[in-house]
Amino acid sequence: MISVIVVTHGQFGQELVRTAENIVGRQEGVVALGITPEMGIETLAKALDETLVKLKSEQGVLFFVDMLGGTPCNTVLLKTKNLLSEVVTGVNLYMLISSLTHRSELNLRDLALKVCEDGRKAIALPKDLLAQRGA
Amino acid sequence: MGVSLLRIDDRLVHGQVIEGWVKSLRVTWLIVASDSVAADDTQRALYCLAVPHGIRLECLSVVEAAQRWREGCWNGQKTLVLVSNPRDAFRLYEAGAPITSVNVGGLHFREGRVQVLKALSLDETDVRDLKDLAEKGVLLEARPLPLDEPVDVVALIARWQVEHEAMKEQPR
Repeated sequence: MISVIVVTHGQFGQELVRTAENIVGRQEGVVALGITPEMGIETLAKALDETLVKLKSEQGVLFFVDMLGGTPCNTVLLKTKNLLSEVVTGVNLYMLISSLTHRSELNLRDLALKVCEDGRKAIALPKDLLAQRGA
Repeated sequence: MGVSLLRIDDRLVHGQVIEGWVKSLRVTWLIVASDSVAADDTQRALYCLAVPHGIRLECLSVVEAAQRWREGCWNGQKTLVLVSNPRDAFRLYEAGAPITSVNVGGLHFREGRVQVLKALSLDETDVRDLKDLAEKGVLLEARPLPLDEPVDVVALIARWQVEHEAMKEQPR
């Protein structure tokens, strides 16, 4: 199965994973890593290496990061040049849940595209949607 | 208007720089002065991804950056120059860059460094280079983000010295 690694600023990723598991149930092969303001890039890179050893998967690894251009994103990109992996930016709860529910049925590339699509769909102005329906 | 800010930050281009400094100073050009980044296609491409539209990013070696700065190539722009450590800041100075002040942003903790602020840890080399800059009359302020209170780096170095001595005396 495709492994999922969430890398963010602070504890955001850990909380996302915890919350997603509350919704879809306990998961194997999912890890969150955070970088704190006092932490060096080397520390994050090391944690990433250790996690990759544990979560190695022939189907590949799907990375979620919070911000395009942020340190988590940059570090992941530099670390995964030679790894079967996709990196998706702008992680939110909906995207993470989508990845967990579809990762056993899609290949890595399709899964990455799917979570992007689902993530975009989930960002909306629901009042407008209700108004369109005359509610 | 040439260089608005020279910042030491071991994360180079990242959220605090883009969301904090680039926006508040209305920076138009971002210069990464680092020999290792200038020589690494992947890192250069990566930092380009991080920069918002309308802002020009150049990754130069320290010597090239010093030369362009000295020659006034960035005049007319609001330029933010990033280096990843105090060594490169001092090398810029030595290569003739007209540096009057340095923002000491982030040097993160690793083995052998003493933490003096949340995102600022220093080892002996860092301290030597910062002291050298201070002796040349360069103003050094520690400040992660524009709205943070600036902290005098010379005072931090005095504190560093006390803690560094204590660390050396500790049995391993």
